[in-house]
Amino acid sequence: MLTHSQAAKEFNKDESRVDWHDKAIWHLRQNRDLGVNKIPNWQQLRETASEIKLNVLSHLDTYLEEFEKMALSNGVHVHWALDGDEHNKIVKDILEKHSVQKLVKSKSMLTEECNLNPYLEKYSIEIVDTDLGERIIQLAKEKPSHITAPAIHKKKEEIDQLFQKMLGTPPSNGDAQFLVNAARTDLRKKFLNADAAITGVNFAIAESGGFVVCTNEGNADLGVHLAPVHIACMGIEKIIPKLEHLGVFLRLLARSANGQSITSYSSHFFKPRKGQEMHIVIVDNGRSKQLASEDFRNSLKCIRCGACMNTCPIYRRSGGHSYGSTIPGPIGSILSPNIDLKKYSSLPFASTLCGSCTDVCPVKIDIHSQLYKWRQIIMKEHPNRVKQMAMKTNQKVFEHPRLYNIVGIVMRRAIKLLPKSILYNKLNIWGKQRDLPNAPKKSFKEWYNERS
Amino acid sequence: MKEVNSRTKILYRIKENKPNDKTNIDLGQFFIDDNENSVINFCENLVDNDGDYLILDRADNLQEVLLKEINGRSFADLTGNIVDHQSWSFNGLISPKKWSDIKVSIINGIIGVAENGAVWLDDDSMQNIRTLPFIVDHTIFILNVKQIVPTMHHAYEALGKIKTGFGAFIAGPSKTGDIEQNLIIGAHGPMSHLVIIVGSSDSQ
Ligand code: SF4
Repeated sequence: MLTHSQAAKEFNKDESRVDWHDKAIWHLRQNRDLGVNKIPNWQQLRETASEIKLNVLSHLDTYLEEFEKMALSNGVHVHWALDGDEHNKIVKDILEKHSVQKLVKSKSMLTEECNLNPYLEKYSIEIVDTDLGERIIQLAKEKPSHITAPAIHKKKEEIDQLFQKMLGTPPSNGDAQFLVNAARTDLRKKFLNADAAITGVNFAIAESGGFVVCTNEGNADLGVHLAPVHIACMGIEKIIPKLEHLGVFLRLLARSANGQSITSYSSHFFKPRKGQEMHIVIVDNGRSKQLASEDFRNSLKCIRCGACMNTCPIYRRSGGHSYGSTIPGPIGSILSPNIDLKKYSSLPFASTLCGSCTDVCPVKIDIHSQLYKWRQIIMKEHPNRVKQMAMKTNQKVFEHPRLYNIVGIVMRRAIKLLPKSILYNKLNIWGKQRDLPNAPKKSFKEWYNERS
Repeated sequence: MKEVNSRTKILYRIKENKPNDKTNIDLGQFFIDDNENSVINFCENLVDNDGDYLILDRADNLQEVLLKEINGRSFADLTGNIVDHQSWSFNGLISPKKWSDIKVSIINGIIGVAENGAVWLDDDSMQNIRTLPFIVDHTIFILNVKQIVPTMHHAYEALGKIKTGFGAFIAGPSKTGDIEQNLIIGAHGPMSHLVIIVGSSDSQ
């Protein structure tokens, strides 16, 4: 596999595209700031969300049992999967039982992680991703490059060409309204004819056995409410204790993602509708292992808002695909090494350790210090990989926490003041021949609130 | 019985590996009451989310207002406010595949949230026709001014132990930014979203 910096170099060949990508993503970050600044007690909200999630991790077994018990009493079927393969098989068995041939699926990073689509296609089940961004990359046979905006790497002219080829639309010069209408017409047919619907889960509530799915498009609902079978797939960490805690998370999620006060649809599923069958698949796939590590367990608090990638100067200028993992960006770089340390050994180095990810994270995951901790582990366990990454000159810095702390502070405070030679050494392949993108600044308000 | 095994294994691993945190979680600090501005905030935030609002002093002329909004299109009224015209009827066997023919839905909201303009609906207010507000082109929700609460925290407090099989906060039309972040309304379902707030005069 290419290292991140090799892949980033590929992406960086087209300079104007990099600038375009950088701006598109930065736009999300700016909107996030506007949305966040409207909330007077944002920092307390983050703190509380982080505490709730720590409480969840500390009682995860009992909450899952409670959730299962309540879901069963609501008439929902509950399944448990140790890994992606078992998850896929469970889903396939449910679909086979109902002779499902056509399936609609709304956005779920978990099914992406488990490689569900290629697996089901082997059994000749038609699977249609209904989130527009996911539909675009499905038609293009690509992978998502962002967790909330999967097709953000694609230009509208490319989508135009893709739709001409795959949906038979006339050329529209990349007219977004026209392209959305074309997808809408095509997908409406898929919704009406689907035999089953798969969704992800944003939050699962232990005390009620219900779960919440958030979308702006309404695609999850349209799929679920029309189809006779609903399968919801969730990682074990999606649990929250009580309904009232949703107040905290629904206030944080959309604002962190793109500054919206809430998504258009926040749907709460408790019981199947009359005549419908509802299944929940609870998946571990390495999460319980991550739970054991004091250094890394906080990464399980993630609510998948995407803020850390939107703010990351490296992500913005290297693109989501350069990470080679299901989840890209800073959070992907701390989750993926837990799945396969060797394969993803270059990811924790894809960072300036500026700490902006940590600053924006709505559940206060210490992302940049976890990146640093992974670096130390990788230095020890895969020294050859590291050499290959041409990191030698910086080795000292990474070996000595004290030194790192100092460097970390300098990077964060004065990224603009550093001479180019320091920023653009071999380590920063993405910094080659160009200025480092705008150092993410905390808004004044955020900074002010944090210090008080 | 692979399933039982996986369940046991997962729960066992969690038990072995979990941290031990005892922090008390208190949401009390978030109940900041801002009731005076709730209606204004609701309207502003709704518009921010690409929805629209109408404020009526009294419910007397609701039918007239609704008919104007419907403007001759096929509609499903679950509120009983339209008596002079034929609403779509869900009695009898109508295949959901025909539901794309319904253009406008009118549904009672249960709670409105000022901080984001969202309206809460449940199985009762949707009369168990869960698809309806997601499949029509235009949604109209009716809300009494007294049903508007300041924040999501207040909303969940008011909902208490939710008894419904399905419920949703709906805050605007169906939209997408997936093509170069151009905001396009009407990704799959509603292309417009209107909340009619009734009774503003008696509360202020
Ligand atoms: S790590 Fe934090 S900022 Fe990044 S996606 Fe997860 S919750 Fe959002």
